[in-house]
Amino acid sequence: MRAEGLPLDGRTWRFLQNPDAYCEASGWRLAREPTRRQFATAAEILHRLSRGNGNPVRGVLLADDVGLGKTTVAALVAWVVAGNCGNVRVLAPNSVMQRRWAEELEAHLEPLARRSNFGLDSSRLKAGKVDRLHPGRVQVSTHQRLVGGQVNPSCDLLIIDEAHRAKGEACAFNRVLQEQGSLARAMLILTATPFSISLGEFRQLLGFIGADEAIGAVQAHAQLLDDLHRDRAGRDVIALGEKLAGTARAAIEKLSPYVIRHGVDDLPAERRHFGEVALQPWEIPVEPASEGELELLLRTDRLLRLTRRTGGERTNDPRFHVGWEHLCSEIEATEERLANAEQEAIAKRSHDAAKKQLGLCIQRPHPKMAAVARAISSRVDAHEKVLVFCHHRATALELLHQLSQELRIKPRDPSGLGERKWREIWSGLLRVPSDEGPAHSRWPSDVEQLREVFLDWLCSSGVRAQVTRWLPRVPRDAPALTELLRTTRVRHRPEDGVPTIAQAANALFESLVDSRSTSTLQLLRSISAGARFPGAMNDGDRTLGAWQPNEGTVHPLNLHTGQPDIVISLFNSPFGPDVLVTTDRLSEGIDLHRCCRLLVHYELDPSPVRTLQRNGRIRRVGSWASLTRQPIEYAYPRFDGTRDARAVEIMKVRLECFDLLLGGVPKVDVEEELDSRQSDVSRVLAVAQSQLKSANRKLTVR
Amino acid sequence: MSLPEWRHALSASPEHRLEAALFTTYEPADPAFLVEHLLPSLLNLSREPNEATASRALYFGELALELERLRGKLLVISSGAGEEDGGGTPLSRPPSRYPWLWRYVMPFTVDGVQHAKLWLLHWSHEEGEYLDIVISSTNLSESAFRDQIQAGWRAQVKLDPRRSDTRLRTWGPLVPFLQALGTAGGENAAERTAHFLELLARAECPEGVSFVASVPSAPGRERWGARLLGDLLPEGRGPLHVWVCAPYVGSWNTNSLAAWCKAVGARPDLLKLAWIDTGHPWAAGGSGEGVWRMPRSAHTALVESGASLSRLGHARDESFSAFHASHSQADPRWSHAKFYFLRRGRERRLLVTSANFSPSAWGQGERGPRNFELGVAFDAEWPLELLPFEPYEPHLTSEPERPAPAILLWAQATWDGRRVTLQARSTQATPVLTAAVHLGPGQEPLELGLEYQEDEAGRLQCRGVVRWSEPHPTPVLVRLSQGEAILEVPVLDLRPPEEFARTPLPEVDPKLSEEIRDALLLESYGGPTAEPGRWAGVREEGSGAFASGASPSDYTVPAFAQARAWFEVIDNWQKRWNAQAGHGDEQERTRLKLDGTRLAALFSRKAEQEVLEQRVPARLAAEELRWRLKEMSRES
Repeated sequence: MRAEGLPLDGRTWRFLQNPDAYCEASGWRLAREPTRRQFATAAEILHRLSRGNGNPVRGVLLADDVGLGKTTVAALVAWVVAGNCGNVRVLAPNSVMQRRWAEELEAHLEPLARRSNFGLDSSRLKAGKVDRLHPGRVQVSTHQRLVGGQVNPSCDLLIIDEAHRAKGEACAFNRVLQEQGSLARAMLILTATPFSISLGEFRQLLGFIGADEAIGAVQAHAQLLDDLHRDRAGRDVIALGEKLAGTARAAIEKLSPYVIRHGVDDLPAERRHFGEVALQPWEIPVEPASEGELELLLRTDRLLRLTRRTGGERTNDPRFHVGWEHLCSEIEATEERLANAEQEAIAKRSHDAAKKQLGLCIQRPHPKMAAVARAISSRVDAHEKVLVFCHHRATALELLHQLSQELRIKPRDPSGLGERKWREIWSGLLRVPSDEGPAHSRWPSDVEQLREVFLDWLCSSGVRAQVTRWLPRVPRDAPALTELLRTTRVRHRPEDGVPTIAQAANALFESLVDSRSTSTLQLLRSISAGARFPGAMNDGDRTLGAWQPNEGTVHPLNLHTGQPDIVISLFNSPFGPDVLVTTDRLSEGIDLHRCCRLLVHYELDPSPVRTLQRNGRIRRVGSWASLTRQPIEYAYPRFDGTRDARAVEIMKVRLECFDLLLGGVPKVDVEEELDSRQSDVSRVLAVAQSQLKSANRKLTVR
Repeated sequence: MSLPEWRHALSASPEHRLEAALFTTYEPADPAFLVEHLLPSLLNLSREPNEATASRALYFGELALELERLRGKLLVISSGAGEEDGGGTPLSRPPSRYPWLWRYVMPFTVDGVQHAKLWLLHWSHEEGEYLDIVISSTNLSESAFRDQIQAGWRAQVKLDPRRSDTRLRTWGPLVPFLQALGTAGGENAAERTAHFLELLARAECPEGVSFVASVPSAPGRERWGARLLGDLLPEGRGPLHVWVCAPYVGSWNTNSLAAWCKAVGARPDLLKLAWIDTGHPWAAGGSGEGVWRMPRSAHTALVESGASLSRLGHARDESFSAFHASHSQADPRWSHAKFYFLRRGRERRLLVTSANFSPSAWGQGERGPRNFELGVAFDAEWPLELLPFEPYEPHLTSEPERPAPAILLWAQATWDGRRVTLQARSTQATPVLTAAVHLGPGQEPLELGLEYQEDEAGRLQCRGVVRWSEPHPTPVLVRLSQGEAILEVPVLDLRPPEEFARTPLPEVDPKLSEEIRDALLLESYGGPTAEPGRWAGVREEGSGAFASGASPSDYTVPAFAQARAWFEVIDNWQKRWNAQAGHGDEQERTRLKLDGTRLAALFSRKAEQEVLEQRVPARLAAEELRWRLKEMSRES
């Protein structure tokens, strides 16, 4: 079906041809290089959607790598459409992202007002609103609201962020889009991983944007990839590799009117803005599994097999290989099944032996946890922040406990000035609500009270000890400390762009009291009523966990279980806990790059998409790595001799293949036992690699 | 058209597992035929005898382990020192290629001529147990399958879990035949054939089937042979026509033929014999007089009695098929089949049997048969096309030379792991009978001290014992000498399973025997397939996937894969233990315990390896297997 196209006046986006002037208008808040590419991309999208081009498309899928600023591109497109009296709906994956969208859209209002004739102001932006959408407006909502029927997708342009969540025919979001997506005249879909686990799923996204003509070619490629992973003897590896490259090329040819994709590696000029990845990964040496540990794992596997209820339960849970806790609970749980085992006496002996071995092993921390804690400790001592991802909550909890024990800061104040003096100094340095400033309009009415809460935290013994460690010398008196806080850059960094301690504290305060962050404000208010500040370091704990624990689980004080906004703000500042342990809850769409360039994949999700998403959290424009001109470092520690090491090895191969094959890497359950067929697959992929690399570049904007 | 592949006749269903078998044959079974053809087929072995040393060792190892499982449950019953009538060839025992076979397969001989060709095959299957009954004209030799055309009948019956005398009775003469055969084979044979009678008691005989058996018997005492043949069709409704096709015709005279006809209930003039003319290919070969034989005197008796002869066609008859519709002219095989067709009015029966047309096979009137014979009758048409003899002459042979009566009638030697015991029977007390136990090539024979005793019939019964308790070499055969007469009998190995298990594998370098046995034992319980050079079935490539640079796309963790493989072996072993629990088979229980003990020892040895990924799984497997063995001992 031919697309109608949006009635856009081509002259209204001429400003996109002059990114430098725009950067200047933003006060150089925007860097030139990414902005150029982002502008070119926005212009290209507008061109493709515009009725005026003679052959408009119904939608565009923007599939840039994580961290390249898809939101910026989409925000520009949204404002141009709104400026042409169109109405735009943005669907963010969650409320945190909804807020981020609002910030992004708002950030463009001022420069756009200077560089275009749209006459835009903040009244055009309707964040969180779900009422009727008038022409010239941009409304930001969430996927969930669409699913819940609170949002009508009818609009001129529907922007769907993190659209890979719509993949899977059974998914409710997908269903609603299938049913109501056509109510939008045009669609812009954003996802870094459109071609993730199964190319078949990609087909659905293509359907939303009217790219039906490309579906056949994509399916042909998907089929070949699928066949590649099926058992087949005696195939011609070279011929198959070339055939695969051929189908990929054909698919890309068909996709090119609808899909735009930039890989980080395609953009050498921009790399410095989001940080270079270290040539060598961060190696964390972990002692291989000892005989006793291996024995425990094998005994558990056997015990679970002897006592399983249906025969289908997993007995070699990936969690067993990265911590003790899950092993403990699973061994414990077998006790009540012993009586039903086929050979009760044998199951009982097996249980007793496993329990005994467990008792021996847990006398010391899990080797991988201990090694990771040591490695992180040394980086934290060097004034770095570290982000740690786990796949399971139980593992994250155990690791958080281990790190918490390892990473303690002595809450002492060598200056001897005392908390009161510090408070006086910080009161003088921290912006007061009456000050003029760009954030002022977003401050809540009780900002004064919240400022006291923030000051309490800032002057707590743990944070004081942390800040003191950044100072070049021990201040003799209050003026000296004031001066040092005003002039010393955070975390011992000498680079120009790095803020001073005082600047960073003000930025953090602004972020925390932003009226749009309702969850943070709520939390700060509860703290003023006696609740604990997340990331309080009074007891010297330099770690913080953030995930929603299982119901009924007792969680430690350093685990934040509420909305993650405050954790994100803290972690993006130099203050507070140096280590954030989290799950994949924070692996998508969240910025964690402002003060962190080190990431540890403690546990891996089998999907390479998830790994890429995680990596994207710290490799973004304006990252700490680019600011401090240090490399981004990813660590994939592995517990040799166990399944954990295999998962790391396989992920390495998948990441190498991912981009080259449009992400067509099959999902593999870590429980699954694979055989040597996979090496055959690797050989075919190797043959296809060089050709596919160049084919993918056809999707970039030049 | 290519000739039929003779081995096809031996094929067995891969879903069935042999649990016991009884074979009867005239000549002593040919060990080479059993080892290289019959047993691998019936046991569904995964390997074939191969010239390559390592593969050959594995083949024999696999065979021996399966035979060990069935030890005492595979019987071969053949003739003793007698003669087959018509053939006139005294039994001879050429040196055996695989003398060790008789450690596993029990060879019994009967005092007299065992000419029946019966196979009873007991199978287990996931859906139950089955018994195959095969009655044919086929001896246990390669030549019988490769060079001869045989007639055979095969039926499979499902076995009920419980026995009943009523069911047993449905098998008619087959039951007393088996009892008599067992008794004639001696004490050990009787005990083992009784197992097969119990199997028959668990199934009903297929409808419309009757058995016709001959057992050497005193005159007029029992209904065997010709009398049973006469019982096949009810009396009345017209005269009985009898047609015969057999490659050997015995030394009939008019009296004996008349007596036979009377016993059957047929008039001699209604007897028709299918025979060959002098130009037929089967009139050549043999010892010069052809492979089909009929003494001229018997022909005369037949003609004088009014019986008629019809001719089998051959190449000269152009389009005529050589023997039957599916037998081509180019087929060089000759018919060893024996069948009889009886018709009275509309009633008819076709008898497929081992019995040649001879007085020894059928008896003659009051004189009972001299042989053990067995046939099965059912409703079927006469299968051959016959031609008139004129103008051709029937192929006739000279009178068979009756060999001197055998002196050494029967012997049986057993070894219980402590001593070799011999029982023998001779027709005369002199010259002195001596016996020696042979232990294999290069070993000095052991002389047996014998005690003699004369029985009521004036025959010499003797018994001797010699001590031998070494597990290697094992006693292979006992050679008896009495003057010119010589008789060799294999030694029945009656050692308890624990001792037997220490016997090195046959045809295998003794240095490798234990390793191969371990590898095959693992394989038999679902462990890794034993391969030449990798006997123990253990990964030999370094310390596992990580250290050895295995494919990075392979998720398998070596220690887990190894542990699960060993535990699967244990689980399979346990399953077999559980499966036998309901059967009360003490021998099987003992064998499984021995297997378990051996596996535990094997795992313990593997647990001494340097490589961690192999050491720990093996240690845990050994430990659990010992728990299980202890648990079994406690329960029992």
